[in-house]
Amino acid sequence: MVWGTTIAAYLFLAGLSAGAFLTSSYISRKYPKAVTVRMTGRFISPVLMGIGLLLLIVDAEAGLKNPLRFIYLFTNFSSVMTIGTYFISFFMLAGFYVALMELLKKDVNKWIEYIGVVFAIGTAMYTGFLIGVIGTVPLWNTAILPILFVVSALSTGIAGTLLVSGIVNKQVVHLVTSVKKIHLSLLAVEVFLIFTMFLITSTSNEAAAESVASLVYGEYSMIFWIVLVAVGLLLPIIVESLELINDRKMSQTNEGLQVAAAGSHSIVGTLVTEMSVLIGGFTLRFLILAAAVPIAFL
Amino acid sequence: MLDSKISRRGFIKASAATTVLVSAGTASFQNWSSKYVKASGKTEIKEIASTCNGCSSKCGIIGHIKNGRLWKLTGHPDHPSSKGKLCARGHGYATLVYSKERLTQPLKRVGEGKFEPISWDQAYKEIADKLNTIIKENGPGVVSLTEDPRATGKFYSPRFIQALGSPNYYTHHVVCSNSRDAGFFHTLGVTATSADIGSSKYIMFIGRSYGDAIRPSSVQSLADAKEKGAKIVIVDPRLNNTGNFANEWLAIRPGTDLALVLAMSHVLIKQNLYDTEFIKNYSIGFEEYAKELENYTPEWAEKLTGISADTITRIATDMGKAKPKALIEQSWRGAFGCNYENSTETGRAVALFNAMLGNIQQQGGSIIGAKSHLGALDPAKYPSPKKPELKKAGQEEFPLAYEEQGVATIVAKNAMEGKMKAAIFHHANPALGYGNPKYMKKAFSKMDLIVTIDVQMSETALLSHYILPDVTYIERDEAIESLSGKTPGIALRQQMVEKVHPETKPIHQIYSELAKACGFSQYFNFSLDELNEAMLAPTGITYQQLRQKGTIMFPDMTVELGKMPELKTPSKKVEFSSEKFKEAGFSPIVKWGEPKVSPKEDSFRLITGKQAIHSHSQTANTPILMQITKDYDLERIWMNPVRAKDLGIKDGDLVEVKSSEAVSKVRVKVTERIHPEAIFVPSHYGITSPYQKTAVGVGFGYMEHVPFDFEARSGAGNIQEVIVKVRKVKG
Amino acid sequence: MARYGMMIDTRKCVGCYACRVSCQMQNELPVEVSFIKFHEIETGVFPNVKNEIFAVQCQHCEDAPCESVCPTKATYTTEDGIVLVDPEKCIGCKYCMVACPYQARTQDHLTGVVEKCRFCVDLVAEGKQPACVSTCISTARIFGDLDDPNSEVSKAIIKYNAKPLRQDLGKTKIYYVR
Ligand SMILES: Nc1nc2c(c(=O)[nH]1)N[C@H]1C(S)=C(S)[C@@H](COP(=O)(O)OP(=O)(O)OC[C@H]3O[C@@H](n4cnc5c(=O)[nH]c(N)nc54)[C@H](O)[C@@H]3O)O[C@H]1N2
Ligand SMILES: Nc1nc2c(c(=O)[nH]1)N[C@H]1C(S)=C(S)[C@@H](COP(=O)(O)OP(=O)(O)OC[C@H]3O[C@@H](n4cnc5c(=O)[nH]c(N)nc54)[C@H](O)[C@@H]3O)O[C@H]1N2
Ligand code: SF4
Ligand code: SF4
Ligand code: SF4
Ligand code: SF4
Ligand code: SF4
Ligand SMILES: [Mo]
Repeated sequence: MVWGTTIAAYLFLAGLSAGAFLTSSYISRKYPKAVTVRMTGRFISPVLMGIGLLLLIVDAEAGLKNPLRFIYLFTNFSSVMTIGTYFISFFMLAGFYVALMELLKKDVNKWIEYIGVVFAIGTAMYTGFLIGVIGTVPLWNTAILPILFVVSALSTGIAGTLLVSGIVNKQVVHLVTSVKKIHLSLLAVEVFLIFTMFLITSTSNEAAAESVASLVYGEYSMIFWIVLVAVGLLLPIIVESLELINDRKMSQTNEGLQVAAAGSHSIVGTLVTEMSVLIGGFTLRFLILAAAVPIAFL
Repeated sequence: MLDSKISRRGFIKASAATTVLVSAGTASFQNWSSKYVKASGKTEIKEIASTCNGCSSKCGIIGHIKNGRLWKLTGHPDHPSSKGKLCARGHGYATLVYSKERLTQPLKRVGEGKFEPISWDQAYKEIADKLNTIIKENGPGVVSLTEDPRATGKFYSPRFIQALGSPNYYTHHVVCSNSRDAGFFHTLGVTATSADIGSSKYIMFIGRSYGDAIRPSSVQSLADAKEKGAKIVIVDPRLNNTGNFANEWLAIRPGTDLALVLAMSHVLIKQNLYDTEFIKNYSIGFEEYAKELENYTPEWAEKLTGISADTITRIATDMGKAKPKALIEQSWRGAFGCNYENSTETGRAVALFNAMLGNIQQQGGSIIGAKSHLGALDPAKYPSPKKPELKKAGQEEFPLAYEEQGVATIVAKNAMEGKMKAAIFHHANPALGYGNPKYMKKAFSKMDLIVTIDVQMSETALLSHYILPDVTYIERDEAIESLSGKTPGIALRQQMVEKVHPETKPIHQIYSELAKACGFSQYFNFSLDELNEAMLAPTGITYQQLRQKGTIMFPDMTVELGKMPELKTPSKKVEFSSEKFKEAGFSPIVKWGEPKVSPKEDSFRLITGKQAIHSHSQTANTPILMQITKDYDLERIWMNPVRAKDLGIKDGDLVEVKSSEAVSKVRVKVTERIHPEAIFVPSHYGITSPYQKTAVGVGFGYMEHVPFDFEARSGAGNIQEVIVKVRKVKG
Repeated sequence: MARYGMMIDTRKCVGCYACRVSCQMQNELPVEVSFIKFHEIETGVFPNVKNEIFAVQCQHCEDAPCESVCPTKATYTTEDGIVLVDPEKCIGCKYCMVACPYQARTQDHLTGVVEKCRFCVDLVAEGKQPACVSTCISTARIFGDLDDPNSEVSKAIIKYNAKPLRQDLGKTKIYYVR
């Protein structure tokens, strides 16, 4: 494994951070009252991106020893990593600005937020393209992978934002039902994308077939089925579906509405699902990196 | 334009240089190389010609010295073994000079595996006193000296032991080529011919692998021959790494090479394809041999060797047709150097097969090499010790063994019987590599004095009373080495860098100083330079010239091909029938003989051989070489898939290897490249000396499974007369 | 201006590792870092077996994948077609390692820099042969200018019909005879 856990964590955090930023922008428009959720998204986004970058720096041993060299990261426009570095830089600038404004309780400049949105999307896509352009690893080298990573970025972004806001304030989570719906559909799409990707790559290429085999019934099958599929995808899909059904029921009765407003029913479900989505998001990236089998050149 | 950004890196780190210099003695090679050499990216580089000590091929090397430190080596273009190239060991073993695990001062044993440093004076005095006492009490026949003969040792070691009055000088050939040497010597008058590979049309290798047991120039000449369309046949129970060059691999049942050669000889006669002229003029006893050969049909050999009668007939016929540019390469250790009870006879049969092809001293055939004429010390000024009257121990028992080499393991046997009291080991590791280590240890424990002269804490050193630290070959001058071969020459080992450890001493100095302590300094009253000047005198070459060039060849003295020299056998001819063998109580003509032991359905024969990156036990502790073993799991034993399947063993599994002598654990390489009857064990692992931190614990020691034994004719170790069982274990 | 390249004759290679060690010494690499990696392919069933040995190092690709992905431009190609890493620019991100189809790159953990075969630029600049070529005990390696039809390497490539390991993966400058 040339790229291991550290890089998996970096890709995960970058996606999460971008997703959180997008979530909070969406919420600020759609649910102006859900202040906690918005603020949470805006705060965790640059912080997590910063942590991700730190991990990247730690993994880049030569740069760690000679930090000035990171300047060169901006120099090769044919490298996805350079492009990504720009994306992340602009995204983080915007992210920090927005967080700062939030902190100072000032109005956020719309245009800067839009720039943030654009580069957040860019960052999420970058995490997929970074490995998606690597022709040497057929498992990665598909058009689906960047989409998968964007979808996963959004879903982890939502999960991260809701998880933290839920901890801060039990009630807010139930204010943002449409986010939960989006979240559910994202998870479903993710499942679909993963298996489509497996199907397409493993039928078209030997190395990819090896990769897929190692995930589905080989070396990584335990992690794949239990941690990614069961915990990271199915569990949140089930719990979230139940919750949505439940929410609908509740919103149909008066008592239900009251309970919801009081936030007196448990948010354990939320915490568990969001947590498992995050675990799944990291595991997805870890597995995609770990199961990489390069083409056979002999 | 070439961009040289690599060396620019150097200047940045220039400040590191001084600190590293101070700690020169202990800095590991890599430490040094990453800091020091890079620190001096553009300094001038001194080139010094010398010779490699990575193995017995002693290739010519050029040392590239940066700021007084060895940087890298390249092959000497003129040296007949290197021809400009070096093997992995040649490059990597040189890092020994900066090894952390060298011997740095004289040591005295104070308990099992416990040593304390002493001064050289104390060491000399105590060793001399003990030697003199032992000799006074038992006579000089109970002291011995054993070594891997290299240039200085070849001159100084026999002289030293003779000065003590003892004839007991031995070399490592007992586990190398004693059998082949005895077979060849009594047939052709030389212990080995050399093969004119580059011009040959049909080359058969019997248990000889140029690609594994390397001498760089041999591989080059094989490549040349191949390029020219020569037919190359490899006879080996294992498809060795020279396999790529072969047109054909004969996967012979180990231990049956004699049957193959006898049957091929049979075919030559049957088809009338032998060189009758040559045999008439230059041999004796052919008729008898021809009569014996009648028994050895290809069909007979097929049953023993597993090689089809058709194949045997076809190859012998083709070789007969290609003669005299056809040969069985003289081989070295692999098939009949020291392996089986029938090995000496195999050696004879191979030499005789070549004679039947009439290829002796022919282009593309077997060459009896020429030697350079070197001078000697003036006996008036520098007296030599008397030649001892006593017979060398072992000569009685093994009169066919080549006398100069002797039967080194007799030292252990006699020690066991109380007949050998003292042993000096120079540049040799008999405790691990000559014979069964348990036996050796017990035998050594019965001696009153063991002195080991080495560069690292070998298993032999660990059993010694005194350990004397040699300098490495990178730090010393040596006596001139005479190169024999088609074209003779001379080579000089020269000091490349200053001594790293001030308390170490080169062997010529050790012997001279010890001689003084023993009371016979008159035999060592010359300097190494004086010796070398004397050796050079008749050549017309100055010492300065030789120092400059390192290797000088004498093309004028190249042997004349097509002209048969007078042989050094009793009859001065090729001996198809040997009186010497008869005198020693053996058949004068070669006859088939079984190996001593044979595997059954459920067991294997252990066979061994070299790997390109190691030399016996001496290179195992070299990190740059051992890393390759680790990267590619080279310490594994080889097993055929059919047998592996029966035993439920998969590639990479851990197994237990059990013989009459020992039990070992090791991993398996399951490969189609090996005969189902054999387990192949690479030779260089199983170091037990805890001082060799890189090597200890990697792989297992082959010799642990070898019963202590002597081949009846040559006294060789019979090191492949070993049967083992293998089973899978957990891990 | 030249376009340097090499031919490796796998029919001659005996897997002796001399090239690996001479390269490590020449380039002062740590023991664990090697620019040359060995691959074996065993085919057939006893006793009809063939064993091919491939010594693989940086193939000095044209339009090298490692170069295009390298974010710092530490990886670059000289005018002579040699793909190099500038050790003072490399951050050790390993993107190039991931991108190299031949797994020809290794990281030197002393410096953190990712390294690979340099075609011995320093020696070649002096008109000498790369260390692995000059020491190859079986003369399995030939080095020279691919653009010069009279160079030893160009002639040998034609004579032996040598081919890149994977022609479909783009042009490289090491040709193999099998
Ligand atoms: N790399 C390396 N090279 C060396 C040395 C070293 O230690 N390492 N040492 C040098 C020295 S001292 C020597 S003596 C030479 C030895 O040179 P070789 O004799 O060529 O070397 P080995 O590897 O011992 O044996 C060669 C082959 O014999 C095969 N063999 C084993 N048993 C049998 C058998 O019963 N029949 C047949 N036909 N073949 C058999 C082995 O499988 C092996 O491939 O190498 C010299 N060169
Ligand atoms: N299993 C197995 N065993 C084998 C073989 C095999 O193929 N397989 N091959 C056999 C053969 S062919 C041979 S020739 C023998 C060789 O057997 P040995 O001649 O005993 O060779 P090594 O085991 O390498 O031990 C050489 C010793 O010399 C020391 N030495 C190295 N350089 C110097 C120096 O400059 N000065 C001094 N004073 N000492 C030095 C080393 O540290 C080491 O302790 O091994 C035999 N043993
Ligand atoms: S064959 Fe290798 S180890 Fe032996 S002397 Fe030559 S270079 Fe040194
Ligand atoms: S082989 Fe790998 S390292 Fe070398 S140029 Fe091609 S991609 Fe780059
Ligand atoms: S590791 Fe160094 S050479 Fe490789 S892509 Fe990163 S910066 Fe470029
Ligand atoms: S060309 Fe030079 S750098 Fe490249 S593998 Fe050969 S010796 Fe090493
Ligand atoms: S030096 Fe030559 S023969 Fe030896 S491994 Fe390298 S390429 Fe093969
Ligand atoms: Mo030997």
